Amino acid sequence: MKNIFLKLSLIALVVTSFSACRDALVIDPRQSIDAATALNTKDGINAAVVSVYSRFKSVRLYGRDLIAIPEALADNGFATNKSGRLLPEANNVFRAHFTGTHWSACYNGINQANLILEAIPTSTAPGVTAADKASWTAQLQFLRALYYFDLVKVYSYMPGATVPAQDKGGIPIVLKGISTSDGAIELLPSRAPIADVYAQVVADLIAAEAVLTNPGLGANFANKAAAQALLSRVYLYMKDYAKAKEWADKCITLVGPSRLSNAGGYVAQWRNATHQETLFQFALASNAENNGVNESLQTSFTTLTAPGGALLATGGFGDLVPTISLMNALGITLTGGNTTTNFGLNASIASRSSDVRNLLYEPGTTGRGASKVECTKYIGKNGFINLDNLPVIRIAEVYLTRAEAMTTPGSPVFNETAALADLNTIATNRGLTAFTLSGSALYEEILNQRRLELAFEGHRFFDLKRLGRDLVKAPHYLTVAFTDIRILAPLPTSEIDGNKKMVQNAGY
Amino acid sequence: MRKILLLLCGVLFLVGQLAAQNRTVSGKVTDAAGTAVSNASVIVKGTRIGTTSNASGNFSFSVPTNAKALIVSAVGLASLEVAIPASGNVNVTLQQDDKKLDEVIITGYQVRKKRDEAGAVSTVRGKEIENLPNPSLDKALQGRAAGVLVQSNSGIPGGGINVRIRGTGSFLAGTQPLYVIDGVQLNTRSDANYTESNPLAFLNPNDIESIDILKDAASAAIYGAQASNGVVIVTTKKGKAGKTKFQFNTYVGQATALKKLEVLNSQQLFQLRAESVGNTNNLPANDLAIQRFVLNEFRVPITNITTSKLAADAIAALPTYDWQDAAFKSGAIQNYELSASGGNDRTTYRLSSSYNLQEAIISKANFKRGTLKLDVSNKATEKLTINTSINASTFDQNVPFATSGSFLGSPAFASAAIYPFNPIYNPNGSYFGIPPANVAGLLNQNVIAVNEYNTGFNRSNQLVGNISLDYKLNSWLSYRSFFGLDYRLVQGKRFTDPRTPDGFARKGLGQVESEWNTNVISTQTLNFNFNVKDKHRIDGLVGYEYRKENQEGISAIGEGFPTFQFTTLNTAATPLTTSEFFTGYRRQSVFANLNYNYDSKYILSAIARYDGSSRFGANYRYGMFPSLRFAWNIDNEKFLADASWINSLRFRASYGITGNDQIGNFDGLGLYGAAAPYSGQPGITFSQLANPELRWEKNRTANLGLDFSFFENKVFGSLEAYDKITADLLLSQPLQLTTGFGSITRNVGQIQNRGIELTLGIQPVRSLKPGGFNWTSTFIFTFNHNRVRKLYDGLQELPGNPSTRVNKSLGSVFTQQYAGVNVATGRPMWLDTLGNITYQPQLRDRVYIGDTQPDFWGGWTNNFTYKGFTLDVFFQYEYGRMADDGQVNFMLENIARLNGFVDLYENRWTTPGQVTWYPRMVSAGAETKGSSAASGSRTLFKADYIRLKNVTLSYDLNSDVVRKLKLSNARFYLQGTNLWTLSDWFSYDIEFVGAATGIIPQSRNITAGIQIGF
Repeated sequence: MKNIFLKLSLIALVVTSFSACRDALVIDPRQSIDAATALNTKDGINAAVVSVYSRFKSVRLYGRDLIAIPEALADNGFATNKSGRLLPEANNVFRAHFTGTHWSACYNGINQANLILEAIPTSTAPGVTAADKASWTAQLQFLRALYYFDLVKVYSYMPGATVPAQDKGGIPIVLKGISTSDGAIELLPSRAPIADVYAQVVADLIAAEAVLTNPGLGANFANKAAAQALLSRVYLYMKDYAKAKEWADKCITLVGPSRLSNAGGYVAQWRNATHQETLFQFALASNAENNGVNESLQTSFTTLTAPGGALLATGGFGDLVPTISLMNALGITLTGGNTTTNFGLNASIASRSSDVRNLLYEPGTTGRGASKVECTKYIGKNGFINLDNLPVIRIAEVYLTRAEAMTTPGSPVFNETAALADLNTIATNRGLTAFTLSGSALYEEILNQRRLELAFEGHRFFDLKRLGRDLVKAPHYLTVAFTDIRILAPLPTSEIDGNKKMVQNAGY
Repeated sequence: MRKILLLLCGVLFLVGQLAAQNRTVSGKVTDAAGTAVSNASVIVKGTRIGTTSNASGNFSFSVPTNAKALIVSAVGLASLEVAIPASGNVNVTLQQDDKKLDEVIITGYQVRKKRDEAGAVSTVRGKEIENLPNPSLDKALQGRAAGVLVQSNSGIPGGGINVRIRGTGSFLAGTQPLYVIDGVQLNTRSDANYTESNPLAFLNPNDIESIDILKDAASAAIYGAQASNGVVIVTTKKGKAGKTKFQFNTYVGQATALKKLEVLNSQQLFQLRAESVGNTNNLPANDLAIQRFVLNEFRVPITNITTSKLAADAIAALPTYDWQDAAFKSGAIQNYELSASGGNDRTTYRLSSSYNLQEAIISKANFKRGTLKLDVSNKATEKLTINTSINASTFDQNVPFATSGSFLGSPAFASAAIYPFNPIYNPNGSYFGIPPANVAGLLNQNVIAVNEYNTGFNRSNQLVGNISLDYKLNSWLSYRSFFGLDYRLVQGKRFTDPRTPDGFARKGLGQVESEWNTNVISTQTLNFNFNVKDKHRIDGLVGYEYRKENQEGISAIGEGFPTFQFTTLNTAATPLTTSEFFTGYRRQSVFANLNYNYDSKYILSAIARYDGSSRFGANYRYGMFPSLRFAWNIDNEKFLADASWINSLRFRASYGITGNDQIGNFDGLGLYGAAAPYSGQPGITFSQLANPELRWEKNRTANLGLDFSFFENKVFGSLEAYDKITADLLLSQPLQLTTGFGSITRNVGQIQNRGIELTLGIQPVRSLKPGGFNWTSTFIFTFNHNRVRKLYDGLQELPGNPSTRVNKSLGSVFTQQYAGVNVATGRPMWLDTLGNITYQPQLRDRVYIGDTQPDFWGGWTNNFTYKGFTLDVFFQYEYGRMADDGQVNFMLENIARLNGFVDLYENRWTTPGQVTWYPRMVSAGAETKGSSAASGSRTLFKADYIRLKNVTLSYDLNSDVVRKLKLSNARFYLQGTNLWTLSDWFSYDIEFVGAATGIIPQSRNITAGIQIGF
């Protein structure tokens, strides 16, 4: 009897041991989930779209590089060597430019956007409406346009401002999502013509603009006004002045004149987490997103922990400060005059012009060496040191874009009267008296106001580059001619090594 | 005596009484020399009834009346079958084991005679590594098995060990062998994040009966896709039938530093620093301005130092403190074990418990382990046997400041290099230079204070157990059902005290983690074994196996503690992070092994395993791993019958394929993972490309072996030659970044390991008299030639990793050749591509300098016995490896921002015409238009060594005395580890892998012990 039981239980044992075979190798990851199911829910698509935004917060994108490097490469920024960062860029050292991480982060964002854009049309996830699909698609097109624009403005010449012998074209356009190893290995793209890349940017923005609303989800998310403003900027870069003016008109009309702050409120607006003029920015919502003491915007530009805090504790490094030429333009005069000698001493401001924008510049602390006049546009406005929203586009730029489009010689929408009006809208709202200029003087003043208005917001290098102008960096550094190969960033070496169709920029 | 001891240990065991039997057999076991043989196994033939001989070789036990014969065996002696005479009194004389090959080995799911085995298997007996003060068994293998390279990460007790069997066979996947303990395949990944914690440390090495290492792919193929790096099969001690026997064993001792680094006093350091600053400013070191500058750096008030005389006085007055003395302590070593074993013809058991304490030479790293192990075997019916083996253990480790790295607060790193004029204590006995103040110099933390204030521990609770049922279906077929569990819970906590520099600003940092790992295995096998006629024997097995492993963990970090007394996270003002993870895998396999033996002359064996693993890409879930082995027992041939000098001689050949599945659990899947949130909303991002082509690395090994024993076994050993090719090698292949990804892992490369292994034993002195002098010497030598054979796309070197190059060893050193110092200027020089001197070597100037893997290594064991004395002397050696020691690199800098070696002081370049290796001091470390003096091959040194690893002297009490004390055996022993090293290594210890920066070095251990059986 005992033996029979034993035999039976043995048989049972054998059966149970083998019964697991069929699904034996099935195990699902948990903190990551299978790509095949990740976008099967509405929340899943929402969360995936979120990551296309959040990638822009990287210090290699708007977190620092896209804001600080254009100031260092051009004539706005002087590198203090307090942490050593941005010093090579300010000196225009060969290869000190946007890095390969800029390239890879942008293309990663583009691939994310492509994958979601492919998944949206066929999505049958519960609760997903046609409106949801349209909104996601528009947001992703807006963001993809921004990724491509941020790539092409770094690695390629801009339309109408090239050095033909050194022009190697635009950048690869990838519009298909890559999700498998085979797909990734097979992708060996070549550089598209510059015009094609801009056409892609414009196509995405126009498609997005048609769907997005104002104010939509606000300035932290893609919205109609931001799409229009970006279109006006992109067309300005393309030297299509009619279109630049057209989209600027639409944008200014859409948001109304009150969006521009006045001279009385301008500085106070810069102390708010979100400036009222902001059409689009990347938000840093919590301190967990802080880019930290080494590379945040605040630490890059100032040693201060609060405005007027020169006698308080030293905060960041203050690696990049206004050059003498920018201080002159802003109307800041150091004690004894704006000489290189005085610039080298502890900063002491003797006088300021009536331009309220110069109130965003003040002496920093001496905690890391001689104090300098520093930019305080980023001063921990989101409640924590080193935590500031990252600017992308403000309405003031749109006025200046329109003014420039109407005064550029040969513009089909040439109109100096209207341009002067736009210029003076900005000037009078910044504490300056109205200008009465015309011809090239008017044109140059518009460019000067653009420099002052957008200083330390990541524009200067690209503005000079699209105009084909030399980077005149006296008295701090040597001039970099527009024909110099250092105007373009090097493509990551791995892109050339692994792909015969890819061409490196000249000189690298 | 016995009663007292029994009482002392009375808490331990209760066992069933012997079943009634009706005949007593007794006798004595001796060897050829007439010496009593203790612990010989005496078993009634054809049953499990048995006992063991006591210290005087005597045995006595009850046997069934129908018992006809006894099988008597003992370690190192040939087994003998003797008929039971009517008197019941039998004296047995065992001959020297003239065929070492008669040893039994465990070869994966089977126990076989070594003589029947055709693969390359090394065996280390528990006896050989007994009582060595190693927390884990892997360390004990060092130098004792040919083909096995064992290196330590550091000297942290219970810390990580690297074991490589027959060279490194993988680049991205794991390189550690598979460990199988009593049939349970272990998970050997370390889960501890705050210290080094060796998963094998759960087992008390003294519970080990034997370790069998399957080295060739043909033998290891039975473990299929897990076996590419070899398999280490550990068999633990089991109970033996007979009267309950107790063994008590203890050793205590001390760990001390192998050496102290010879560093500068404050005046010498001042001189170097002044030269460094002076040379940079084109001023002599004795320039007053330079002296004032450096004195100011050294925190000497300089306002009143206005003359050279005053400066000289101030320099002379600098005190020197020995920070190494303060940091290095001696550590205690303690070990206590008690075991009981016994049983009857139906049930045998062994119960053992142990406590082990080891302290590192730098507090607070230590290791405390308690183990409890129970083995029971019960013959339920004539056909069914139930076995279980359960090992429960817990070990606690105090956490050092860091396991490695150049941390300012790490005593292991900083104590030698801190500026020596800094006092350790203030005159009032409190610590000097703690926050808000600090210590002068780049290393600005008082490491002694930091080490005392910071705390942390790591606790591993582990249960490794199994249960198995053996059912004899008929005379030649049996079924075995085996279930095993390896469960581990690792809990860690680390507290950065608010009184330390790292904790001061944040008011303390607390971190906790908990990780648990459940690894379940089920193995079902059918074993067969039969003879066809007389000369053909066939045996083997077929089996199915399923393994499932889940690993989960949580952790949390917080900062801002009210005071240093509050260390629990609930008191932290700011929680920083919380996290959780899960991972796991599944594997199922079928396997078969067929052995054919003709007349004990020719042995042919075939293995096939079909493995499926959840880790691999959808297209390559399953793989087949076959092998063939052949052995020829030449000594059994008639034509050698007259060659009496040959005791045994056999030839082996094998070829097999195994796989390496040691990659991430979900590497083949396309994944969406967590992304940075945006505007308060959570994000997910496409984080991993689907990789359905991902598959096993395949290792194909051809092996030739020769086992021999000549001249009455005075010369014995084996010789192996192997050629191991790892194909489908996983490499990270760069992608176009426009894909959104940087690289993808693909099976594209190839590595070859070829080598020769020699185990050669001789017995120069053999006494035939009892208690006479005997000397046995065993030399172990391994030569391994590692070469990368193929990368992808025809590349000759891995992009961005020039140390991986085709036709060079994995991890070869490829850098610029240092050319010494320009005698005229003191500037460091290198060679460029044309062989010319350059001061700024470029990437293109890199050349092959050497390998980071040794060319050959091994060990040399000597065993001397005389009367009751036994002396074991064990050396190990490594040759042909180059290493770069991070600690040395810092301390050889020509900057003097840290304290340096005396050698640097004595040989630095100071005057034109001086020929030396050390460039002149400069404060940037690099001359103007020159490269850093630490560039290129300057920091690489040969890491050859011979080390007297272990010496054990033991004395077994005379059997008469033992009997008078009513004991069964008594032994006293004295042991030393790391006693002597031949090498010119700068740093603390030459035996390390990794960067060696800030690791706790190994120690010299001296222990004394006593072992009593009763």
